Amino acid sequence: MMSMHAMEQHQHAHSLCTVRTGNDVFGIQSSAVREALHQCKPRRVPLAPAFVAGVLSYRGEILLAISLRALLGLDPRSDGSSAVVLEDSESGESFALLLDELLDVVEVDDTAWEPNPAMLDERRSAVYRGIYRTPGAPLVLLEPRDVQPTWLMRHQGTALLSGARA
Amino acid sequence: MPRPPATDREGVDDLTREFLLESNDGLDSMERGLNGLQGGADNAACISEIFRAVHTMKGNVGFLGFARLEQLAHAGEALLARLRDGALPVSSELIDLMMQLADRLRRILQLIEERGHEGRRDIDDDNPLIAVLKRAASGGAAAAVADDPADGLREALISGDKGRHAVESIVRVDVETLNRLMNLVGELVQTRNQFLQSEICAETFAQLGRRLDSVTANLRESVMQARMQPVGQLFQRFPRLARDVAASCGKRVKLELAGGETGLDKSLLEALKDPIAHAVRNAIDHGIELPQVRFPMGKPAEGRIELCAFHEGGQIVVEVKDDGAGIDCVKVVRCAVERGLLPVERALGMSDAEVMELLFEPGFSTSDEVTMISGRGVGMDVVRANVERIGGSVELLSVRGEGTTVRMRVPLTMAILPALIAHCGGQTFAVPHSALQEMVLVRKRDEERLVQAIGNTKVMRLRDRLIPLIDLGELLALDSNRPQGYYVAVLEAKGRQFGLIVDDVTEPQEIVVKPLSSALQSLNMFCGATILGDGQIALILDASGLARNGRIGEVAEATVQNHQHRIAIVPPVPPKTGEPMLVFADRAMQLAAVPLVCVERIERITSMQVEQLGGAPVLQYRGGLVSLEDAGGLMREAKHTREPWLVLICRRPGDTRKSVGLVVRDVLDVADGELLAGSTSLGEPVARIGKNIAVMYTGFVVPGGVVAAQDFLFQEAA
Repeated sequence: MMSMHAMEQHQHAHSLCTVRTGNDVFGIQSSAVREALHQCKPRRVPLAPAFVAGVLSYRGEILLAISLRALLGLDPRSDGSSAVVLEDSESGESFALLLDELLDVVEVDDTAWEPNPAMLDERRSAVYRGIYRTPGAPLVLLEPRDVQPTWLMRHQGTALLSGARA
Repeated sequence: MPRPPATDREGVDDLTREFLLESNDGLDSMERGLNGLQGGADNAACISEIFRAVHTMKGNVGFLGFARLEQLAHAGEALLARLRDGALPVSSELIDLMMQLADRLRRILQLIEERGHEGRRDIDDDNPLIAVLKRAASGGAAAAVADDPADGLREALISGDKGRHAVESIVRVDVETLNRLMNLVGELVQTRNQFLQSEICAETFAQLGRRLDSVTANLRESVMQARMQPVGQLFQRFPRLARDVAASCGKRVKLELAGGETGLDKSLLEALKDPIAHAVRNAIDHGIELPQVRFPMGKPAEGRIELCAFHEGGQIVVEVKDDGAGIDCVKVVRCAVERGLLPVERALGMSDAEVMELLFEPGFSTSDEVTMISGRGVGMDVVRANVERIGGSVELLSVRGEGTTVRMRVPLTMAILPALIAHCGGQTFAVPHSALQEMVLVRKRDEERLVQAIGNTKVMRLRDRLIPLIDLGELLALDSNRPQGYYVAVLEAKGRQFGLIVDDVTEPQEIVVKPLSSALQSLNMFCGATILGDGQIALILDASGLARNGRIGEVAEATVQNHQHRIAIVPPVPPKTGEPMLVFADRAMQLAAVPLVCVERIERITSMQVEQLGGAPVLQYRGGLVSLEDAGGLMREAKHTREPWLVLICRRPGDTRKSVGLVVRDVLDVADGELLAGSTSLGEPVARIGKNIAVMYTGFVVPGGVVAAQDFLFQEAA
């Protein structure tokens, strides 16, 4: 499913905000990141699907905090207190993505991009948008719209919700 | 709803825009004055208000060079001056003429806003109107101008709009509020400076923190206030609309406004304008009958429409209520079938609620002819679409012969409301006061006395009633620990009362409602979130959602639906009756039931408490006597045991004075029951409750149906 679209969007070098969750390092387009938060403790929402870590207050808005760990099938209880506030350009919806660690801003070149490896599990291939070769660890491209709450609710909500309720 | 294209809005310069805003406000106050005159208010005050408005406009228009406006305003002013000086009496013709003037002025303002000029078409000729104004001022006939008396009205009706574009993006803020904001910002800056200068361990640090805290709180409140506008602002536009529509239908209508002080976010206010206008129009055209029809029915010749707004269940409700004919379900169905919107086989057996839904179908109209006001088939579907766009909902309620209510619910995004802060399982929740009726503290030692389990439902005795309970901790799967007892918040949703068990409550607060992500809306439990004073987030509980999830609403809805009668074009179906029953066992192998409304309390008594009076067992109960009925012979059977008996203290329908006590073996359940046609060999009525058959106790059932709660006290005993 990746993505002539992504290719077209980033034709040349562009900057990615890199973060770590679990063993993987992710890159999110810097322009989509509104702010990086360091000390955030989301308020849990009862009965919410597992990927919802809770809600948090950001500049007077109530944002939904999505747990990337839960999306990747890792234990959400060890969620870190770092997050990035993302804005989905299509729906205009802002939300926070909870991560293990905030890293750096790096420049990448599109020629270094490769599609997801074929044997990637289903959960991950729904979120990973291909991988950049870098001198160090490979960098996974993450698009805000793939982790956007309304989208997740529609595509994963039912399955995860029943899990959470049980 | 189609809106005139906002062409070259940028072409209108700031000065002109200012003028448009001010003039529109002036016309508003002119209409207010005219409505006041119409309603017989203080003439002198109204006239000077109108005069001021026209005079100001004339003054402003002079240096902008709008000739049409100037001439019209001049002619109007001359007439008003005569009225003000008492040289002319106020007559309804003059009021009509003045309204026409206001319409014309408003239309010109609209033209200016859209096109940047006053209009140069042939129909933009003001001379006839000016001539009549002049004639009227000199005491001549004030007959309205024949040209296009309804033109403005028609435009207003079709677009539902009165040239308000310039205003929509602007909030008027009281200068005082603005000054307060400025002062607060000044103080904020000052506090920041002191912070920057002080050391972190300085003595004044705590004090500065407190100052910052109070400044922020004040600032937040003031900004909020600036955004919130009273609904009354919007409501004021409708008496005029009602008057015009009524006049063109030949009806007499009085529009009453209530709840105008309810605060609503500016953007929601604008979005509600068209739907309300539509509902008011419908109420007059379809709802209110002609005076000659109303009179023989014992209704006042003048129809009444009530436009009101209030908070309910975490939402703002705007109602347009008329006392007209109500909705004729049979006619609606016939029209729908004739227009091919509804297949005949589906039309049979539709319930009232389903019929009401038809009115929301696009293109539906019962009008035989297309009139200027309605019948164009653009109706309730547009109202619904508009209200749903801002996240609200529309309901139609109608009683034949008594009137119709259009109820619009809008979320109170950005609204401020008082709420109780409740705690459960370590989490904080807000319960809006609008849903809250009372709080009951249940101490551990009183729990057994106050709270009982019936089947799998918990109920609480509250004075003379039993109300079902929902445990918030259980419902939300939270860990709650209540060694001392708990609080029960008695809530009302959808007309049903229920108790919500929470661990603890703290003081009420005014909270600012923030929307929750749409991803959480499907939980149906929370209608928003708020940030409390200490920065914590509290989820706002949605009473009707809780009732639904706690299965309280289900019973209520089922009851309502079952009580609804079927419409008359189908062959008469025996009325379906169903209502909550208390199911119990009175003798071996047999279920028995009484309607839940008849049950006052459930008591546990011992044989020692029973006394004999005239050969019949009685119980001294709350200072009175209750005669005991022992259909199952339980008292005989267990005469010598010390085991307590269960007694249902009941009241027979129609008998308001005396209670009876039914001695029963065990209370089993509360469930919906449906009365069956047959009876037992002893002639006792029988009901189906779930899959089981239960015997109804005699005297608790009225022939032909089960008692409904509301007429319980007035029904004759069977």
